[in-house]
Amino acid sequence: MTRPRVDPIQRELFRHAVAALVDEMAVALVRTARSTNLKNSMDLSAALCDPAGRLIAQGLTLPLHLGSVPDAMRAFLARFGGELREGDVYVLNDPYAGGTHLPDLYVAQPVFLRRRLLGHVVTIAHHTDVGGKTAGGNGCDATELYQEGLCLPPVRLMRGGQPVEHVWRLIERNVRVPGQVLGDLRAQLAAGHVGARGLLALADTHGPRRLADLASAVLDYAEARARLAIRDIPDGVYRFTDYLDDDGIDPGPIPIQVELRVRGERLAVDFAGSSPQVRGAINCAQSFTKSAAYACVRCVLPPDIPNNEGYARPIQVTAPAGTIVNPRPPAAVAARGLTGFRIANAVLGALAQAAPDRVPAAEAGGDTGVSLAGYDANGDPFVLLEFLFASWGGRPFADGVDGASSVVVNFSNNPVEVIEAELPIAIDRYQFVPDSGGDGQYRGGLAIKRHYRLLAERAALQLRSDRRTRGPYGLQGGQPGATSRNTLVRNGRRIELAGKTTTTMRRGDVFEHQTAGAGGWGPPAKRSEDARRKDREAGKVSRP
Amino acid sequence: MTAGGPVPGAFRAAADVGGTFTDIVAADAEGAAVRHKTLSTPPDFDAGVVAGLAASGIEPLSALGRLMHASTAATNAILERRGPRIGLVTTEGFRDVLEIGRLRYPRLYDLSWSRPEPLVERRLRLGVTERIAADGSVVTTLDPASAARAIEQLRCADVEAVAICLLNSYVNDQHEREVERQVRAALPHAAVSRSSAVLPLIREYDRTSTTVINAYLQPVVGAYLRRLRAALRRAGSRAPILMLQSSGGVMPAAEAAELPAFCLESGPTAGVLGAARLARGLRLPRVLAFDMGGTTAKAAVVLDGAPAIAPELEIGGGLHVGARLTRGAGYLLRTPTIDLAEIGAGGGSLVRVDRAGGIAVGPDSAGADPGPACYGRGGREATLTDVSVALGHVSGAALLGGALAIDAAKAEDAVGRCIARPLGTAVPQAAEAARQIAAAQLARAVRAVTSERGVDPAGFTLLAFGGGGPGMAAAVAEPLGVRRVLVPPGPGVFSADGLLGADLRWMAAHSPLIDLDAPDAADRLGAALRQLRGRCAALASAGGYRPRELTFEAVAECRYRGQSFELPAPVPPGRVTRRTLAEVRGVFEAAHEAAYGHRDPDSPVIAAALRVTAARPSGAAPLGRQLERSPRPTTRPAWFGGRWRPTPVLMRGDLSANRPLPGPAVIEDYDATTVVPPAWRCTRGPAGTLLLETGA
Repeated sequence: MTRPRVDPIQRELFRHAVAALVDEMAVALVRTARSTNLKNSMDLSAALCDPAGRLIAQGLTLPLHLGSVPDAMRAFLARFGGELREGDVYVLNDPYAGGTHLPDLYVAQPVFLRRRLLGHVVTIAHHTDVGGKTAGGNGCDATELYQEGLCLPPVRLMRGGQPVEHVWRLIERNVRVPGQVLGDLRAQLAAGHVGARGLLALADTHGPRRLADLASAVLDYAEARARLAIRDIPDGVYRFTDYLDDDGIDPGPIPIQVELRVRGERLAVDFAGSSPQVRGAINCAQSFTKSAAYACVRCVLPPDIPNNEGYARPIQVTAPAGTIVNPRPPAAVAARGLTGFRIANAVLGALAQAAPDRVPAAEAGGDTGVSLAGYDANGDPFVLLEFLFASWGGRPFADGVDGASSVVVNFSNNPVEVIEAELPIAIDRYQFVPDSGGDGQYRGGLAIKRHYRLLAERAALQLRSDRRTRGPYGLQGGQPGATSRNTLVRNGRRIELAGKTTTTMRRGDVFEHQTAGAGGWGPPAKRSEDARRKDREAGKVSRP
Repeated sequence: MTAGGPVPGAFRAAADVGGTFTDIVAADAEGAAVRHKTLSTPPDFDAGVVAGLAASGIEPLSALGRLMHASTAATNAILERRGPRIGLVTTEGFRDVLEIGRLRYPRLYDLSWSRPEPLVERRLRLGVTERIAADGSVVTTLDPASAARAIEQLRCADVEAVAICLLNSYVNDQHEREVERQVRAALPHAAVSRSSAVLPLIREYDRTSTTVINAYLQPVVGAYLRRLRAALRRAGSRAPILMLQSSGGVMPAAEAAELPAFCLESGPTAGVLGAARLARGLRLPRVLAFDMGGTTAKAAVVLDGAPAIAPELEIGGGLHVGARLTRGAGYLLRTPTIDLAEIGAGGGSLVRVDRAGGIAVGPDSAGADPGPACYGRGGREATLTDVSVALGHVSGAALLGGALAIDAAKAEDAVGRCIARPLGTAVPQAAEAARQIAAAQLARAVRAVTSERGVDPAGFTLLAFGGGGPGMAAAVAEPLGVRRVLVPPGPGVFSADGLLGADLRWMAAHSPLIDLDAPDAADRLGAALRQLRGRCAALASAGGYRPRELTFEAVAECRYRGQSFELPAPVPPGRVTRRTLAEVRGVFEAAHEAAYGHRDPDSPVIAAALRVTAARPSGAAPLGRQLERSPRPTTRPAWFGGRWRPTPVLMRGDLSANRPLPGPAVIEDYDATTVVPPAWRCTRGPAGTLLLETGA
């Protein structure tokens, strides 16, 4: 290393300080945000970058945002690098220029001390709506980005501390719920404020000149930790393919193919061989693909490695252009969350061969998004939008957890009583599905079913689900989990629905969704009698 | 004490029973206090309490007027799963609500995590045919035969406790009551908890989990209190026992046996109560209670003499930053609780250096055995206590009056081996770095209860107690911008002091979901509050207290329609009118703006939950203090800011109230050491405290 040596103690103090700072930013964002999506699901991230845009720290965060900040910073700096001013704030959401899908707004603010650029504070927040043909900006039936809403290339949001009026007005006029969107955008500014104040305090403590050296030292430290951990993974080439059922428009299956190459202290994730980009809106912008890959690799490395660009240095992610994991514009990307989950499944499948003692079989969760929208008895509009999660896959050392969010997004569920108190919807059932976890030495977690009864006159049901033709995979001889199911019950008649569909529900109709079950780990023959007896007693498994 | 023998009931005592120590404070009517620390006597903790009371000079024990009691017994019963076999009766289709929880898991990227086993196993979670809608109307009438079948299954399984939680019972508890009647008839010896009696609030998982914990603990706490009462009687005392609640009041023992879910984790609560009492006494509007023990540190905010209250608590939850946001690690209790942030850093926390030179403090701990290396009981790894010893901040002579031998050479050896050598530096430099990093981590716990709640910690007074608090307090204060630190007398047994002054409290809650703009809102709110006050008064009368002695407080937990989080807004006393509604709305919106930066005047406001608290003040006299002086003040070298500096070592009584002692200095108590770093100064504060200040 050619950089001036930084005292390790100073570096450690700085490392703990920046970690605390970005957490504080994230908390400020949760606290000041307006929408329940940000507050409840914490679909947001906060980060600190150095003057060159290198990621120094990322706070309490959505794992699926892990790699996207550097790409966003590159886009900001490419546009504004030469003219950054104190009090400026920039925004973007263009999936083809630093963003991942339109609802995620990236907001960056350069921080100056006496005209010296100290670094940038960045936040990401998933907004409730960005216009487009589907409320909520998650619809999977768009075929071009243009149908998905307002697309912002890197633009100035604030200049010299004052709002850039026309940008705010433009956003306000293009979204369905401007109060919430502008409120959440202000929350991002507030979090940036907290970050800027903290960065100035760090400059005060360490001296502005020392910040660059300390930042480099922190990146080097994370890189060293990552390299040491990768070195413990046996060299080799590991391949895995997982599948999406379809894109809701054309028939599937849609393969996501991963080649994982481990050599010494370096690790490469290559998506060559994955499906060409698709017509439906489940294409996944490259930076989101990278984020999913980084998040999965993190799961097999020690959890205390700092979240920064140094961690990613020994990890190379490549995704050929024109594929579902790196589409060309203007491919639609709104519902890329689904593909993000499958990318994670595929990367973990490859990692499972490299680190067989650490990686679980495929989880069940995140694939399902349910939206029920209509008008209540007073004629007021209502929307229920929820993502359903179920369970973790069987692990090399234990059963999969029954009832847990995805390992790449830690969302919570909505209380039944709150839904029923606020919306003309009754939930008739929310319960595990026996026999749905993949059998194995360690059983996969169970599927969960949730039944929605409509109490209003009519409502539009929008469903984005998957794993209907192929259950989540098992590992080392473990069985796959059960497939997902969708049924509409009308006047006692049961109508099977496709995995991705839009339909109308009438009063009294019940929509029954059953998630997939998670995959099992290890040969079923090696499952202990004790574990089988406990499953039978609990009614989690009915077969003898 | 007056001559001519003890007056019956002249003494009050507090017994704070932890896993290792039982702390006793006994006071007479004038407030003359005796403090005593003794070893706990598990599994029969009552023996330690009685022995401690005897040793604290209450003679005879019949002179004891009342015993305030806090115990970790209930919490430990959950953590160690020592409770009874328990069943749950719920609405058909929802038996897994308890296990699914909120789906969240506590730590990202950790695939080895497993959810703690639900307190009720799945085969004993049974659905019954019934359904009540969100508006309270009956959709499906309870099928008594389905209830009978479920109860029969529980009977065959020999359950000792039954929890009942049906969907939407917070609006209409008719079916729950009917099930309860059937359960009591069929299982006369089982403990029964019904959710609409324990906590009739919206959100089925929160209510189910709370009700299950309550049922699980009823037999445990009931038996514990019966044993304690018997032991006291044998020793000659018939004093009433008052149990500390997690929200800060005490309740009569009989009630605690019925509602044990409200009495969990009461040890840390007592310390915050002490801080609140001291804050009121000294008229300090903004206080941070900072309690650091052997394995963890806790922080809480006390504003205008009242501890901040959180709406829920997780037993066995994580000890890391962010856990308070994500939850999922433990057993959820939706009961009002003193808002505490806990972090896994205490005197026994291990300091480690990873392969790439990163320094971490905790959360692993050397525990009580072998303990820090300097205790010489076989500990080899460096702990924070070893760090303090290596820096010369803590000496062997100090702890427990020298009763605990400290081997400084062993501390230096451990710090050298575990920290300095891997970092390529010398022992004191390495120790100072570890201390600074520990301080940064502890400061994050404080931020969890301040910055995360929209409160700026600068401008607060940090009140430091627990065995390790006074040593780290100034170092923790600095990164927070806090410039005043207060160390109470007897910092090691401060929790018991707090317990002794606790008020009696009763709480009743309900989720009426009142739209404040609705035409009948004032009537509905008024009726609901009257009902809740009535319930509190009934509870108080049942415990032998007159409703006339009670003061009532009402809080409406409000949210804008469509939001998922509530904020508390106090309801002014008196008849509920439209003006009351406007006031509640105003307070809620101001709180919303403070917390979230904006208000939404066009949106309907929903009072989602109501809580009424009835309090009967303790009326206890403040405790008297006697300050020790050191026989011969000394000076020893201690490491501060990169060098050894001659540092005076004093006792509390040596300090002056108006001539500040400049740092560096060390003040030694019987059970804790206060470190005054350079740039800080120390005076004798009011009420026997030490006051540390920095800056102008």
